Amino acid sequence: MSRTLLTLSLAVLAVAGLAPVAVMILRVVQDPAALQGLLDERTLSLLGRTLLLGGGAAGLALLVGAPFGYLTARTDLPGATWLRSLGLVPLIMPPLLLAVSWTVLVPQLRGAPMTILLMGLSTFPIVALFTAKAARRVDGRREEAALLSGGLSGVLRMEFGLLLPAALSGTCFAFLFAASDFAVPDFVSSVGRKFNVYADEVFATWQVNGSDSRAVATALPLVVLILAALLPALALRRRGTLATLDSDFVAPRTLSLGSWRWPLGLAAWGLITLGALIPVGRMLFEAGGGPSGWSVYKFQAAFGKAIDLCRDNLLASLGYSILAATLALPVALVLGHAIARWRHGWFLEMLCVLPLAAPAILFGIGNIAVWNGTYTYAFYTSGGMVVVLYIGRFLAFPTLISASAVASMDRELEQAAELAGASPMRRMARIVAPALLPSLMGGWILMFVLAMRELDTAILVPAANDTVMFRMFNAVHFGRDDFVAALALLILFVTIVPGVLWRLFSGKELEVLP
Amino acid sequence: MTDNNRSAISARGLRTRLGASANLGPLDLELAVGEHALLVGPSGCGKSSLLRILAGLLPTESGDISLFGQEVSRGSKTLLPPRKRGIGFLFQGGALWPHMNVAAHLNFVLRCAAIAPAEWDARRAELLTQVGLEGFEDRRPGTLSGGEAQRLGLARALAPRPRLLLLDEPLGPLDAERRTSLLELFENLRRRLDLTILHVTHDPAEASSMTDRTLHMRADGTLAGENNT
Repeated sequence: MSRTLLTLSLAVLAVAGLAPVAVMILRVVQDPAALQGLLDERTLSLLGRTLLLGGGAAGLALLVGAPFGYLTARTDLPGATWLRSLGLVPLIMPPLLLAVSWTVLVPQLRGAPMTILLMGLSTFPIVALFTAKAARRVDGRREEAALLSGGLSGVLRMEFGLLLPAALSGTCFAFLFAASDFAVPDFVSSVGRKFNVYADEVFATWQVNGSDSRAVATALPLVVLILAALLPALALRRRGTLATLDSDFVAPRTLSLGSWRWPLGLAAWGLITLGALIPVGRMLFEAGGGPSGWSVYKFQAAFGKAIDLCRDNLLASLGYSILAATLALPVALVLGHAIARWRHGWFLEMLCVLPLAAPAILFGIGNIAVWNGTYTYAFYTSGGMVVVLYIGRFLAFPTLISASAVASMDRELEQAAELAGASPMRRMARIVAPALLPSLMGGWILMFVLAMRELDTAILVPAANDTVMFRMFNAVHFGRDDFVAALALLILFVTIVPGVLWRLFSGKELEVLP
Repeated sequence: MTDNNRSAISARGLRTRLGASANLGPLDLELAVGEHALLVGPSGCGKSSLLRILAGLLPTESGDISLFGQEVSRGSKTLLPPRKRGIGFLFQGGALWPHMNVAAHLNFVLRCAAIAPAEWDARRAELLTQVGLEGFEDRRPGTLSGGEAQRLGLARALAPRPRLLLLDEPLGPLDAERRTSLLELFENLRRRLDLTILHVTHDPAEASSMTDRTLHMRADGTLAGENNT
């Protein structure tokens, strides 16, 4: 490993990811009074609701995501290829857009049930991806032995223990996304019965009191909750999806579902209908005039208006997201390599995921505390701030994807290059990076998608107020339905373009798992 | 000339930990320049680890290693990094780079060895002729047979003109005919290129007819003794 590369990468992690967290911790240390009332009745009630949201959404994601991932990856389910691609749509779609669609379709369902349902729908693809990856790593000979002795149920019994760690790891990540989300609980609670969760409270505390330390103190239980989900997620990830394939690995064959093929196929298509087709269909309907009468003219007009009014926001979001993903990629490769190859890589892994443990709202407040100063004000108000914000927030994902890919790569490929005289930098550029291209592209695309759909931090940091998701957030509350729907479809279209292009032109599966 | 100057490998008091319950050594190892030695022992005894230690890919806890008279490690301290030890290494599984074709494999090594690009074509052709892979320049590892892949691994190991060749179970996946052919190739190359070869296998019969000496390793990671052939 090149020390120069590693030092530079650690510097990026420290400045963009760890400094905002460290500053926030420092604020609480300097103001212990902020910790008063940390365990009062109101805080405990919020904690309970956040646990209910995170646990409920993660449970739902596990319940539908694990079978969906297995069936689409390994069986002859009707339209499995399409289901695999469409199954990513709920993850790519900003959860707020899912909320906008479903609250209109089922207006009577609000509060906790709707919020849990929406976050479960939004996060089930994570569990599905983890399960699918583990399912593709089962050795074909092992599976055939189980098939001979017990048929399909024998295979499922044998593989249950192999797939469970991966599915649970995905569930922990689903919990992380659901428990720290601000926009969906906020939007769902904007009408009818309130369902306030921690992320709401942290934002409100900071906005009302203007006190960083109080906001951080309020968020501490949530940080502990998310850390409690992240630690098992990382441990399970190693056991579930990271297992290095043996050199004589035999890929498993597609399993025949027999008479279960069509019923299970219908169930899978039903899930995709709920998570992707209905929300997108509803947006298409609204963009063309909705209940007042759908027409092509209105549809074109809504898109024309969305493009006219939000072109700059869309371009700004695209620019920030592309730049953040591109700059983060080499850093993620170096850090991921160190995590996978160092004896104490777990420590670096913990440092990398620390920014994820802070709720997005808190991470945004941390960035304000770090960068909103006399000497850094010019940067704080520039687009560079948004890029740094995104890198700091999401660097963990491409880093974990790289670490996973490096861990699965035969170490001898690098050793052969080392013996040939290749410098660490050349080994990284010519041997490691090309061999891990699908994973690196997966990391880039995941980072791009997360940056494009990021809203929570964008609400706080003024430089990010020109992003298209911020515009969308305002439009959802104050704009016309056709405009909101057209803008939502535009965002969705732009967000899926890189993944679609990769699939069309590379012919390879993306590795998008942390 | 000192003893060390006649030795290709001189290792004394070598010892390292290979895992929670496995150790290598303590052991002493001497290999003369130009010698072809076979190292045999049961699976998991540390044969491959010994090769990696000699190449500098695994650290030692104690003991000294000299290659061709130059001290390369002392105790746990590395004095000469792997890329400067003049070693060619043929890995057990080939360790071929899946994204590079045959020509790119060799070009990569020639570039690392600081050989002028103008000489690459000639040197590449020479290497491919030596290992019997003429006409394979555009083929990727995934399209090569087991024997061809091992030959490419051998060409890559020979590209920087090493003096010492370490072979880690090079015949494992091959059938009897290809095994014999590859063994003859090792022996021819040793004579023509003046190489010293340390050849690891778990099958004592594998190459004993073509090697000068057979070293036996015990399951506990120590050397048991040797036979001269």
